[in-house]
Amino acid sequence: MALDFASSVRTVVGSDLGSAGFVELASTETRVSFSRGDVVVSLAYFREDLPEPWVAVEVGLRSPNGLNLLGLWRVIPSTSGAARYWTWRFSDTPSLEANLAKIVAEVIWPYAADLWEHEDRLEQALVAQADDGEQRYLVERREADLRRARRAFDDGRFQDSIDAYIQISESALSASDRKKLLLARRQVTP
Amino acid sequence: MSERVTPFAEATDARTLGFGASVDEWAVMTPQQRYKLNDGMLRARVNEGDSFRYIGQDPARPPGTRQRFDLTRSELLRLDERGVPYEIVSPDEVLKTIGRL
Repeated sequence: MALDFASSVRTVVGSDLGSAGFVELASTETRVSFSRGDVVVSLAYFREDLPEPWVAVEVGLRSPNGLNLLGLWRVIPSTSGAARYWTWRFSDTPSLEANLAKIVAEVIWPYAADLWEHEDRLEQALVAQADDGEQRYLVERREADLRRARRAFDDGRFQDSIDAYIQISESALSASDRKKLLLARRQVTP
Repeated sequence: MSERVTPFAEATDARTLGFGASVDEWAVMTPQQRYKLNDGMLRARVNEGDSFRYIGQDPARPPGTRQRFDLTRSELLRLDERGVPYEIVSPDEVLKTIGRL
């Protein structure tokens, strides 16, 4: 896919953001970021979604510790026509630029502008995103521990199975997993 | 990947498990071809005795976008199947390391 993502973003989105006081901050092959003071607006696509990626829009804050960006989809109400803007796919320059124009009108002005004009709301949304990330992390760790425990049990590596199971609260285990843990303990107890 | 995985790897003196193809090559590959290419790289790293760390999903990416072919999930499952442990890095550590969630 011959595509100059940054050039299309500058052409379609740059002047709108410029009118709101944003200047280009940085660009890569897959991302262009604009800033106004500490506020950053970033447009990107994920290479793993090729050949039909979508345009991710992020708004965030720069601080001495770095940059913290919010996926804008998080603040768009499910009743909005833009709620699933990540289903707006592109495959070439014309479809990318058509998507970008739609994103400016239906995503950036209605939702991103609200956040850059009200930094308290942006900070609140960033905290909610961090909380969500923490929850996802805990779920992923639990799932990984469960897979490891079950595989070790099935392979007869009972101490490894116990080691993985005890990373999870026993009360959170299913009846079947509690039984495997009990059997594993019996196997390693002389 | 270039926004989170690469900076995290560079900051922690680690190697990424890359796409193994140019953007244009990647764009025209089928999921099966991507899987095969990725599996070859994964096997090579396992054989080299690498340890693995996973930094979680990009919070900018809606979960629904991963429904078609989730290469990362596929990598983790293959590591599990081969009995190769991996560490899941906390979002806090990712933020402290690369300055963004």
